Amino acid sequence: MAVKSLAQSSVRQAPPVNSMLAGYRPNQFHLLETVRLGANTASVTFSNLQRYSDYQHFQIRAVARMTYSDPERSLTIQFNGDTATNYYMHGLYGNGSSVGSYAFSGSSIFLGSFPAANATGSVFTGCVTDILDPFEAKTKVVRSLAGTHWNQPAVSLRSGMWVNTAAITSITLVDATSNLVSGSRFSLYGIKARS
Amino acid sequence: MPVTPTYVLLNQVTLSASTGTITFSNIPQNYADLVLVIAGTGAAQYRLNPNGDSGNASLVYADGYGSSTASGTDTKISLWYAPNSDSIVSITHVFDYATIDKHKPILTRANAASGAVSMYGSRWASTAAITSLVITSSTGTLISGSTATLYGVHA
Repeated sequence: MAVKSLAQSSVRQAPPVNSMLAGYRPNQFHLLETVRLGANTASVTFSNLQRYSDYQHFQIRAVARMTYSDPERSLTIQFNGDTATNYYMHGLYGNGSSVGSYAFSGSSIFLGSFPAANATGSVFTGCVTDILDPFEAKTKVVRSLAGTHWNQPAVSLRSGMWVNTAAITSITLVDATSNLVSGSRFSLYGIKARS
Repeated sequence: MPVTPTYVLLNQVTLSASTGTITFSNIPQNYADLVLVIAGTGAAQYRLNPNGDSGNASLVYADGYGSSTASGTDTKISLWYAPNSDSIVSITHVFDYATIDKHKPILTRANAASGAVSMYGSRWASTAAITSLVITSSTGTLISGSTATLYGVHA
């Protein structure tokens, strides 16, 4: 069934939608900042986030690949510049032949596997990461969905925890042994609470 | 710092009769990502063809069936797997759809009420901008009352 052209339809306010973040309303979903890399870069940091303290949740939407010589690398997230071993995570993944699960603790939270230098050209992975209650005095919880198919296929769902009750004032996205490739994009969104 | 309200509804289709294909055409090119939300009943498996292209697609999946799991690859961009043709919800993110410098990463999370909980990482191996999305049946048809909704997300 063909539907009418989008060009012929008017943009209207969206109704509530069943989404990754249950309960949010699309008209309360705001783009806060975007970083588009024009050169290979070691890390991306969103800082001074306390100015967004009127938001209940954050979401990061990323399209990225890495420079490392492996077919894949893991993008990780850290908060407030904390590089100590204050992070825990679980992962559920499919690699094209089996489903696996693992647990990990360390100095960051893995968000997903991204193509690296050996991957097919023009291949980037998409990743959606939700950061819940970044300004509340509780341990911070993260969940992330990432994946694409390339010569090392991977799709994963990960949950992580930063064991700190401080408000999140900065977010750093980094791979410790690789650069983020020019053309990668990282967008930070804020989601309002229901009024 | 000014912020931009986004997650903009572009179009919504509520089926008035069973159908095997839904097409969103003339998609505006001024967003970064598209999010496609489908809630429906009746179809076992649907796929997504960017710009109507049924080729140039690859996918890795991870499914949980309640008592077992499976992962594999495919050459189509699946939107859900519901072997019992029951109720489904599928949310698909199409990243950087209007760019012309990269293949398009496509990410889906889908639930079927009595079938599988699934996640799909897909790639449309084309650098062309996506101007239409064709949602078409691999098995079965969506029945009346099913909805397909397309959102645009700025970056």
